[in-house]
Amino acid sequence: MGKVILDMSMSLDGFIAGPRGEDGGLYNWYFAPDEPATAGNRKVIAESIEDFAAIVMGKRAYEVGERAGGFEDDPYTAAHFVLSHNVPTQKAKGTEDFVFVAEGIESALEQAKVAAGSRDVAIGGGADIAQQYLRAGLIDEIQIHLVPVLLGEGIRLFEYLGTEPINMEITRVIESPTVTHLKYRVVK
Amino acid sequence: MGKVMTDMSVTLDGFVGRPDGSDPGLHDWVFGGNVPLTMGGFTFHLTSLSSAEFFRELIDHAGAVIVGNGSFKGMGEDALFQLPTFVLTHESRPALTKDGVKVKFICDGIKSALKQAQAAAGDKAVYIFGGANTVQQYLKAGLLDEIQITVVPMLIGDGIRLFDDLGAKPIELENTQVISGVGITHMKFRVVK
Repeated sequence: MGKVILDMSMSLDGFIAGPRGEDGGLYNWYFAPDEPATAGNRKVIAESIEDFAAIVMGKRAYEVGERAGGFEDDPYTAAHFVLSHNVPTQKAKGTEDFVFVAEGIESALEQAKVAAGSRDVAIGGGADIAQQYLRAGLIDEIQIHLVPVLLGEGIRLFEYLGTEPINMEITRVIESPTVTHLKYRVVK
Repeated sequence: MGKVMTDMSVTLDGFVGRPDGSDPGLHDWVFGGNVPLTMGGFTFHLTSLSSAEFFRELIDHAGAVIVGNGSFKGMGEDALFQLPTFVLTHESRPALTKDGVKVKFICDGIKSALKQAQAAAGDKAVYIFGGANTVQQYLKAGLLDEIQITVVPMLIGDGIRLFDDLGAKPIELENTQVISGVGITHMKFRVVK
């Protein structure tokens, strides 16, 4: 069975978006991986495209992605599962199929694991979805793309986790001028 | 004039201490290993050669230390690393001499402390030693040149945040170096001004 990976870009002060949900430049490394020349960034992107066979996301992450046209030239050949209490009436633009799951995070993950087979499931945000999966102990690996900026305000990734410490082991560091990719294994 | 820098160990969720200020193991890389390093009259035990090199360079480059009153008390009121130490406080206290090194108490703000620390440091760096609140004040005032962070792979859920109350204006940084230790990651950043 594949792994469940939380994969997010984060500012050094812990935000995954600005106060109004704007990305604050945290994904510049992803959308312009060739500039400046960064083999590391390209490797990380290629790896995620290869490894992620299913992506679980929250309703808001879905809506933000849809509004930005983010699913139109989506390079992922992954099954997408959206945690939502209702199914949108309009289909998202692009080639991706979306499964809307109303029964909660465990059901979404089960379906995503079946779809992924031996490949990995990515938890793709937002922060509240990531926190729910972390609290439930369902994350195997965390990959943080740490961007050298202090946003000062915004949506924090690691919040509301409770006071039971979660220990991890660092498994890989990839450097680039504009982002540092830190990969951890959650110790269970 | 030397640079103004800070170096802090943080959990991946951004905390420098538990809610009561206690250390959840963030400095094990300095004290819990088997690579001895004697500096400033004290022997540290680092967990790897690369961490020892990182730490040695930090102390080598520093010419004076600024520290908040809480952190100073937490460290047993010593001159840190046997460097001239400037303690930010609200109550005036006469200067101390510890093992021949001056400790001064500064009541008239972070800029005054920095000016005096820079005079003492000469060409060397002024090292803002913490706590979080002191680092935040220097960051907000645009007075920090370099930030060094050691990321410890744990999520503790609650505590004292290093980067908090910084205001809504983003502060751009530049990656300058990443050093992998045993289980931890040292990262250096330059503040873009």
